[in-house]
Amino acid sequence: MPSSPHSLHKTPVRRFPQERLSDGELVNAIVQGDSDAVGVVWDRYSALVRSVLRSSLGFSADVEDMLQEVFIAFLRGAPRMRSADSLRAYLVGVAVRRVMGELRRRRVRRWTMLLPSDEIGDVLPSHDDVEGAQVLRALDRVLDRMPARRRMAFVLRHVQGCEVSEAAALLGVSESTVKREARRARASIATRAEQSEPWLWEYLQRHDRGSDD
Amino acid sequence: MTDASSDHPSWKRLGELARSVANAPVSASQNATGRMRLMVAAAGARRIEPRVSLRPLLAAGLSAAIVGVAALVYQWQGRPLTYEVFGGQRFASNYVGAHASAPAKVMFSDGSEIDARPGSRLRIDETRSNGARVLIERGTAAARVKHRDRSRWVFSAGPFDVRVIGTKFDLDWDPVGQVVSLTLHEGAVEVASPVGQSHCIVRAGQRFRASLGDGSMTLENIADTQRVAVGRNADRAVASRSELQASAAVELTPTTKHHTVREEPRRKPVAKPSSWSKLVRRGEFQSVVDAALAGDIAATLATCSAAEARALADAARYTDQSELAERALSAIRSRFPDSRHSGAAGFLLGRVNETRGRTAEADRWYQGYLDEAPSGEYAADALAGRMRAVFARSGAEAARPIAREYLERFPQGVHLRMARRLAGQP
Repeated sequence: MPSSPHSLHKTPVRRFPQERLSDGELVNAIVQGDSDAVGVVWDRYSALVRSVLRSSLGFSADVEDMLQEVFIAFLRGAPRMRSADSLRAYLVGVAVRRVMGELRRRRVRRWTMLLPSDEIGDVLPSHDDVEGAQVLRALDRVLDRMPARRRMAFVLRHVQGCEVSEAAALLGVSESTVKREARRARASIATRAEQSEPWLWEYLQRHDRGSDD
Repeated sequence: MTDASSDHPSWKRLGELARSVANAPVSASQNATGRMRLMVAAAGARRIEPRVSLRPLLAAGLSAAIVGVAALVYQWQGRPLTYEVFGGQRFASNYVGAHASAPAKVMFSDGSEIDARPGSRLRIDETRSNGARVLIERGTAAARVKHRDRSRWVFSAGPFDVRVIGTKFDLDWDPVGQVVSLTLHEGAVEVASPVGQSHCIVRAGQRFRASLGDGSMTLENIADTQRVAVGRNADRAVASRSELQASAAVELTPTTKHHTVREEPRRKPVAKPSSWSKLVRRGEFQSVVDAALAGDIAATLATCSAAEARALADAARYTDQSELAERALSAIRSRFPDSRHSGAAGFLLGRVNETRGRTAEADRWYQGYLDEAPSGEYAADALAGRMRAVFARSGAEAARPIAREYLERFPQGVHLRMARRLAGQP
């Protein structure tokens, strides 16, 4: 039996699930003041941005604060985004710029307060793989001595797996600069590892020989 | 030499290792907290008027801008923290009560958070620019305090004050039983006791419990459940962190201030010390520490070889068990004073003390090593350690002669940069 117009009028209208909105639609919703869309963007991209921050800065408690800063910067910049569909690249770009600034600030703090490099932040949470933890601590110490751009070129290329063009866009430099900085970073890591980081050196040597043990 | 080409397997494996750790998921509660923080910020951001560009102001006059910024900074630094309460009920402006079946959350503007467990009741007594004073009237507060320069947080539970710089802990107060319980997950806090004049330091992985009813205080290492139990008027004994790993329980009677040592039943080591060096070489540091702590550590250190004690010390250092490392190294120093391990143990005792912030002790051990082995394998590091310790304790002026000595003796040393700065050289 067909429903009367009255009962049709009472049928609740289900809201389209925001989890299924595209990035562009989410950004538009946020610009319109939809706070639920903010949570969806968080669910979709917080893990990615956290990964970029962790791989660049280690596991200090500051990472969660910086993660908030990245998303708050996005909220402020959302009305001015040129292409709302490039949300992923936008968030990672903000994260990279924040990291570069933080790395420079750390250098200044270290210089002015005469802090040894290994006093800055916790590199890792508790980690079952003891050798892996030692290797990554050593890597962090080595990266900590590099200029911010070189460090980020290495992290974006080798840890985050970005293409050269993507890394260049994120860092705001040419592709040849990214290649050069990543190459220098690798050379510097190898040299420092050989000189003063036995865990890292052994790890590189082992995998240099193609062994998986 | 490792190939520097980008597609070499060693770089690929290193990148994968770093990525696997960077991508490790956070806990559901941490993710929910982050999400909530963002939602709160988003709600606040909508109330903010569009910002005016500073460029015209800067162009109008740099000096005016500097004065303005300075004023803003001053104002910001002096502004007390604000907070929002989620869930629960607010009896008055500064009271927070969690319902019997659901928690309440207090989120502060500096990112610090307090979860009031179901049935708990808190009072935010005071907020300052660098912290707050929170009273636990009853129940449990799970706090995560953000570390900031000069931050000052005080949590009061009954007559106990817990002073915090930056940490994560659960604090419980039972006003009926007059029992306070504090469990540290991260960092360290200082508990001001109502009995006696001294303070008790509680570190991550430890649980502090005090009962006003029977006048007892207990500091317990959660991991191995070894205990140091002390009685009334004995909070100074609780503060003796080096005793935490001891196999003997220290007991003080309420009527006298003399203490007696009561031996616990002897326990056999789980893993033989003879295998410790092998385990350390394989990187199984935690296994060594677990095996040592599972047995009678005092008896083990009294009978093991110098190499075994050194292996335990290394495993303890690599797993951040400074107190255990110190015990093992001290055993080497006292039992094997003439062995090759003794000198290294002296140097490492300097390291351990430096790690724990005891710069005077660290300096003493470093100096001792340099006296024993002026050209020993750790001489450069010991001198650099002295440089850091003296600088931390007495400033750059006091450290300058050590920096100059370092530059003279180790012109290619790895601590050149710091030495040059302290020595005032370019």
